[in-house]
Amino acid sequence: MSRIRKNKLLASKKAQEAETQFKWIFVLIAGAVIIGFFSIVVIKQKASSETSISAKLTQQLNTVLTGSKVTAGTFQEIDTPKFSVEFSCNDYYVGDISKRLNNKIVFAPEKIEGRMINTWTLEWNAPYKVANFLYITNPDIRYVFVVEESLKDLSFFEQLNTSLPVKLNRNFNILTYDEDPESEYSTLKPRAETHTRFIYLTEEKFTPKIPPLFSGREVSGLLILPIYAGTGDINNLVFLKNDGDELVVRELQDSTFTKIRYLDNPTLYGAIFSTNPDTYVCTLNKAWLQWNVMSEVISEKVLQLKELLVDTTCSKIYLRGAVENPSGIPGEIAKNTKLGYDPELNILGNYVSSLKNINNELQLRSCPLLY
Amino acid sequence: MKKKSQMQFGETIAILFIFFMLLVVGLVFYVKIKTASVGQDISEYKDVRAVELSQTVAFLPEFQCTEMNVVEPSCFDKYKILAMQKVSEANHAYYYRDLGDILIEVQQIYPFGETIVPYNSTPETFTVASQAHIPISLYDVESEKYIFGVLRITTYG
Repeated sequence: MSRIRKNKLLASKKAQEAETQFKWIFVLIAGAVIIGFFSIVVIKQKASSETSISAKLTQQLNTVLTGSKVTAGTFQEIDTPKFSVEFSCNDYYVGDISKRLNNKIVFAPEKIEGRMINTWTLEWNAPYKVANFLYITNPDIRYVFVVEESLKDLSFFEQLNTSLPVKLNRNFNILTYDEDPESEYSTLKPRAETHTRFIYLTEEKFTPKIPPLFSGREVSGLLILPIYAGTGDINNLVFLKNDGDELVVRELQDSTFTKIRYLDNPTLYGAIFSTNPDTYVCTLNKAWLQWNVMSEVISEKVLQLKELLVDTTCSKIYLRGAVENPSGIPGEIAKNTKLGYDPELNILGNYVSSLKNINNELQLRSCPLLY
Repeated sequence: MKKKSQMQFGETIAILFIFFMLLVVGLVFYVKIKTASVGQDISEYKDVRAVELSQTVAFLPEFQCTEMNVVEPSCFDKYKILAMQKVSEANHAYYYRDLGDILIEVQQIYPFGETIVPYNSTPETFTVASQAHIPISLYDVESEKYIFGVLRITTYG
């Protein structure tokens, strides 16, 4: 009897143990399923929320860019959530979301991070209004203006320095390039900026040393050569990149051009704000395309005015422009050959002065103006 | 004993079933709300896009009146707009990048005159079309007079 009871008790104990084990296995599996389910939901939700925030930021940035584009001559400080945006010639990227810049002419560094964005808008007239250029930066990027030692005439740089927005993060006193360890240039200290851009005005190409306290920091540079002493060549630009203790030439990826030239002040400012030479040249090309189209509009307008004002003093001025200078009527050349940015191209200067003269004369004779 | 355990196990399964049922109901509810919110976002995006387009068009240098490059606010140059009829056709791809599928019309209200269409990219088929009207003054260099007009922008979706 006691043996049978003992066996029964043993079997019952074993069954209880098996049940407890089964319960624990069941709890573990069910727990793992529940945790897994919630983990997937959280991960998916996080990714979706990040994409949604990026999309919202991209859209807001687009609104900011459109708004800034139409208000020329303004410098805006726009507070944003903490973000990082990358700019190329045709697109900008916030996280995984990208948006086309389309025909917007935007000069910006390759990457902007922080909680604020600064936009500066300038009209580009050549000689008629072609477009509004949009320059983008933020307070985390500092601009340091430096003149090369031998340079005597500082008027160009002073004019450049004063024409830039007051609120731009930069040094107001122009430094003189000097490699002496005690010099003001060599002892320059970084502030809270994340990127420092050194802008050198010079007549000779050279490889500038980075001030020692900037070693290991994010630094880029630009050489501006209004007149290149060696060849007399004008308006040259050399983009520089950080190479340890000095700034070396950052070559164009696009091998079509061996040099980069600016056309006027608005295009020079573009080079100051852009850090990538390829993006800069591509943006200039967009500006040229807009100039071609605008030239066609002015050309068509002039053709209509010529028909309306036939045999008048005004039509003679339009005609004289066409006879004396085949490119006098804007757009005539543009119609034949679509111009793109070309560092050798100096046609714009002739165009601008020729059209300015015609427009001034039209104004003197009280004729409808070209622009 | 065995029956008791089976009952306990059945209870646990039932609890889990109800738990997951509630979870599914919650998820369905959440997805529905999210879909509605996405719909609202799309509608908001369309509104913003319409405002941006109106702003872009109203400030196009191809339309603006200028005198020695000084822009007159809210003024469109009639002869530039007439010129744009040809130029926008010849450079359709260029303008399409910025403007997309829209129709821009400039209607002369007083004195009454023709309606000029400086840009037309009306798609063959569309589901929605929204219109924005902006009052403008149209400058006629020939008569040296300003005409009261309306800039009508039709956006297709």
